[in-house]
Order: sequence, then C-alpha cells, then structure tokens
Amino acid sequence: MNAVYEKNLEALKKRHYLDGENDKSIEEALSTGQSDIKSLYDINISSDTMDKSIVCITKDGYEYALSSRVDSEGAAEIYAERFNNPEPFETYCLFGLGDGRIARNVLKNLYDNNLLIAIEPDIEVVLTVMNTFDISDLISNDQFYLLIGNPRLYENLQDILEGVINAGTIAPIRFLISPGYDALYYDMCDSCIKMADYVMDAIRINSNTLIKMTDVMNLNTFKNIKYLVEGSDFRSIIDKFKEIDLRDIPAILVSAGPSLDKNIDDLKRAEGKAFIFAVDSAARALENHNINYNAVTTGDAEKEYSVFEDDRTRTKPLIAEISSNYKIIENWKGRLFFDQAAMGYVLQKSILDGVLPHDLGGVETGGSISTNAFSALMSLGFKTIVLVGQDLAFTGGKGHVEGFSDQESDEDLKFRGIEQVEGWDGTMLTTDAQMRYYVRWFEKKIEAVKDDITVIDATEGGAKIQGAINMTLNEVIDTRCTKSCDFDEVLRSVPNTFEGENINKCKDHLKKLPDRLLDYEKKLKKFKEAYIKMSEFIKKGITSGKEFDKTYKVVKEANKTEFKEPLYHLVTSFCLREVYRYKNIVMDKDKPMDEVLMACAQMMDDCINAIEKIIKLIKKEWNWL
Amino acid sequence: MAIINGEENLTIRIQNEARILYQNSEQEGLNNFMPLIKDITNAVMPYTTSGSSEVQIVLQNLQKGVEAYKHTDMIGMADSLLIIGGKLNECGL
Repeated sequence: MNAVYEKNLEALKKRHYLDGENDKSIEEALSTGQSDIKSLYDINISSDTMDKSIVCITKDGYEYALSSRVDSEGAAEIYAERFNNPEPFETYCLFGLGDGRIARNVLKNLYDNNLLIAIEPDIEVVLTVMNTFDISDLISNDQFYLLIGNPRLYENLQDILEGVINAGTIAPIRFLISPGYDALYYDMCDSCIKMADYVMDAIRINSNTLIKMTDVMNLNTFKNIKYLVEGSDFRSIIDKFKEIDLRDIPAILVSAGPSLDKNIDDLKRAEGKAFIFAVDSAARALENHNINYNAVTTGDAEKEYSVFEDDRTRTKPLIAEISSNYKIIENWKGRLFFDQAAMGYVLQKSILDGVLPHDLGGVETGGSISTNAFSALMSLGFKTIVLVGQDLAFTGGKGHVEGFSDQESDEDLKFRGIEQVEGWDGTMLTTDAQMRYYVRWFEKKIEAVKDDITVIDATEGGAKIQGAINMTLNEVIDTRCTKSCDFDEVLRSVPNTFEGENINKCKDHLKKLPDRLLDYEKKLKKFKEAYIKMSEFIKKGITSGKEFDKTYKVVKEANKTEFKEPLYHLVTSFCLREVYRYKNIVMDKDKPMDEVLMACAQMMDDCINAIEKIIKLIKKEWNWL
Repeated sequence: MAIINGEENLTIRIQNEARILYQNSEQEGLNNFMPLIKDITNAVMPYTTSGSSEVQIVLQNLQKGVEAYKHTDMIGMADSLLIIGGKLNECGL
C-alpha cells in the first residue's frame, strides 16, 4: 500500500464508504489494498504519449485502454463535453469509473444540486486505480458516490437512486458509459441501465400514491405514534432473528391470490418448521382454515378494517407502517412492530430524532404489501423465501382468495384485466398493468439477490415469475421444512423500542415538538423575506452591495434547509402537492430567476401553513402525553 | 502543401469521427467508422510504395483501427484516427 493508496483510503474512510459497504470482501479489499476476488480480466498500467498513466484491461487476448493512449486528459475532456448542459437536480450514473478522469471532468460541468454515481464493476480496477492515481478529490466530493461491483450491486444502485431521487425531485437519471466498459462488462451495464429505468418508473408510481394519500397518512402517523412509544419496531425483530440460524429454515410469504384456495391447507404441515408470514388480505382465509401463521403485515393507510375483523387475527404480531390505518392499530391486541417504510422516515428524521435508540428497520416499499413483505423477509435474513398465493394475475377469473372481504366482481375484473401474462404453467392469463409491474418487481429483486437467496414460487398458479423455482407447496414442505423453530416464542421475546426511563425521555421530546416547529416557523419567515427581497434585487439588476450580500447569505441558508433542517421532512409531508409544484418551477431552466425566487417565497408560506396544521393536529391527538 | 478538397474533407471527417468515438457515441461512431477507413485507405493507396515512414504509420494505424472496430474498442478506434489524421497532415496528403 503506497502513499497514493493511503491518501485515497483516507478519503474513503472520511466519507464512511467502508462503514456503508455491505459486502465484507469488498470492504476488506479496500482496507488492505488486496482482493481475494479474482478479476475476469488482466489489468495493468500503461502510459499515453504524454507519459500519463492509463489503465488497460486485457480480455480474450485483446487489450482495451480505458483512456486514450494518445492524450488521456484531452480525451476525457472531449467525453465530458457531451454532458455539459445539465438540468437542475439530475442524477448522473457513470458506468465505469476507470482512472477517474471522466468522472472529474463531468463533475466540473454539474450544478451543485446534481449528483454523479460512478459504478465500477471490478474491484481489481478500483485497487489498481487507487494505487496509481490520486482520486481523493473525487472521493471527497459530496456530489460523488462510488458503487463497486458485487452480488448486491443492483440492490445498492436501487437504494442509492431511491435515496437521492425523492418524490419531490422527479428529475431524470442520465446514464453514461465510459468507453470500453460496455464491451468489457456488457451484462452488468445492461442490468444497471434497466435498474435505473425501473427506479424512475417506481418513483413515479409511488409519488402519485403519496400525493393521493398524504392527508390520511399524516393523520394515521400522529394517531399511531402512541403505539410505537408503547410497542416495538422491525429493527428489534431483525436483531433478534440474528440469533437464529436461518440457513435451513424457510420463510413462507402468504399472499391473498386466488390460487391460495388450492394449497392453503398444506400450510398446516409447515407450522413450527417455517416462518409463516401473512399479508393483511390473507389473514382471514388463514384463520378460516385454522392455520397458525407467525405474523401478519399491513401498510396501506386506507386498508379496510374488515380484513382484521376476526379476533384471532388481532392477537397476532403485526408488522405495520407508522402511517397504517389507525383503526387497525388502535384495535390491535397482539404485539405491534413498526417499520421504517413510508412515514417511518419522517418519524425518524423529524419527530423522534435524537431519542430513537436505533432506526426502525428498513423495508423496501415495492408498491404492494406483498413486495413490502418480501423485502421484510430479506431484511430478516432468510435464505429461502417461498411465495404462496402470489398470483399477480386473475387466475380462474378471480381477484383474491375465497373469504377476502373485498372480492372483485366480474365487472371489476373485466374492467381491470387488460393485459396478458404468461402463467405458471405456460398458459396465458389476464392481469392488469399494476400487477404486471409487481411481477417485474419480483423478477428484478430475485435477480439482484440470486447469489444469496433462493426464491421458490409455490403459488401453483398465477403469473410466471422469472428466476423463481416452481414447486408445489407440499414439495417445499417435504424438502425444505425439516428443522423446527418456535417463531412465536422468538417474537414474544423481542424487546420494546423504548424501555424504562427512555419512555419518559421520548414523551418529553414529543411534548417539545410544537415549540421546535414554532422556532422553525420563525426561520421560514426570515427565508421568505429574503427570497422576496432577492427577487426584487434581480428585477432591478442589482447583484452586489452590502444589502445584496446580506440577503444572499440568508437565501443560501434557505436553499440548504432541505438538507440541514430535520423538521423539513415533517413539514413538507403536510404540503406535498405544493412541494411538487415548487420543484417543477425550480427545475425549469427557462424560468426567469425572479420568478423562481418568488416560487421559493411561496414555498416558505406553504411550509408555515403546514406548521400550523401540524400543531393543531398535535393538540387534538396527543392528549395521552 | 497541396490540400485537395477531397482530402481536406477527410481531415475534418477524421477529427469529427475521433471526437464522436471519444464521446462513446456508439451508434453514430460505429456507423461512420468503416466508410471513413475505406476512404483513408483509398487516399493513401497511391503512396504505399513511396517508402515514406509517415505513410507506413498510417497503414499500421488503419490496421489497428480495424482491429479496434472488431472489438468495439471506441478509444482504440479514436486513437488510431487521431494518429492517422496527424500523419496525413505531416506528409501533406
């Protein structure tokens, strides 16, 4: 490890790359400068005609230079010229970090609200580059992220894109490919492009849901917080499950598709030998057939209470979102575990920041309760996940399992069923666009985790899910359910989120929320005035002077409130439509600056109104404090 | 140095194509490359027996360019064109 490598490593540590790396072999390789992971190709350093070092990769006897052998710096500048007209808030994905020259030149062209995510498929290339080139400037740049190829690359890419592109910032992802990388790593490049496309689609679908449901989600959150203070969280379950060897114990995810009618009774044989996890809509059918499932999950803020009317269901452990239907939560008799999905993020960042002992436990919201449940099982550490009742099509002309309280009528199905999909057994089935999207979600997820998790589709009907192994449920139980585990007891032993004096600390913190909001309101008023003043300066052509500089300083602070102020996420969840409208104006490069500034001022007003709504809600709903 | 209209266009075409290739614009770059290689070859063919070292370098880089094309090596193609362009200028072609 030479001095250049050490400098680069130091930069990685400062950005917490090593802490955040979920692949131990990559983390170790970066820390030591040596990798056990064998590269597909030979990698070496050569030089251009100006004696600057360049990286070369030999594949099947042919040597590709990742930079020009004539003028490596000049060629990188030419490449970056292709992307010298960024749009605000765009995210750039660069497939192929190489020696970092292209990334550095592209970054020079970007606005301070653009991001560049570099994906380097080969850890050996990263180590060679870190030994030869000083890329600490890149690594230290807040607008730069690095992803290194590993079995979870696509998941990591999805996580990072979903993290940086939130619902209020629906700007495109631009996908760039460094020369040579598509020839050398074609499959990975193609998969990364598809993942980026998929994330954009998912964000559009989820953001539409958020706008529609924002009011009811906010109300549910404020009503349900009481039950988190007295209850538990998904992270605590994840930590408890780490004590169990799950390699030979499958999880069975029971969804409410019509095929569940065929094999629901077979589940009895899996009791005590698998973790039987039901989505909300499947609960009633399971009770009707006396199946002892271990836990149930819900998430939809408007899920009808009728799915949980059976008293037996309401004694089960429930994994829910904090914004789940409050009528379900307040009538629950069993243990409650809240996860981080949906408003969980707002809860962590804004409402309970500083008092939560740990995060609530991440669950990826794929758009349906089944996709959420699947993500939850992955987070719990299961290596075999079995899908039951996961039709994702109108099998046998039905929408759901027998007994589902909101069964679709023939007319509903005729209206919705406009697409065709290949079935489990090769026949063609009718489905709708939304279910097709979920099929694609499962397929992408299965592909992303295939080296780590086996997914078995034991639906015995419904749409074919590429990548899943098709088996009957009886076959699964005979071959995979061979070890016992008392999951009921495990869930009983999961600790609460707040215990002892932490309960009071939490309550005290919640009592202070109205005052915190009022303090933030004062800042927002100051920001609003500054935006208006700056707009007037721009209209008059004033761009310097004492007053201008003073105002500019406040405007700069206001522009950063989204990143610096913890309460921002809570406040904007109460004015989400306005946030979207505001972002559309800000992202329009052709809008005159004074108009953009007035939109920012209006946004501050919307946030102030939102604060007033929140304080009213607190007075109404938090008497229990 | 006599520059005939045809060869002047060739120099500009070489520069433009090298730029497209360095920018990894695959479709455009690959479509234009072999016709350009053919035109360069036709332009230098009369001088191949002249003994000029510059012409030899052009011929070598034409071969390298074609090899790079076979491997979809955009940088390899661009580099060979850049060298060819420089040598064509040097020997007044």
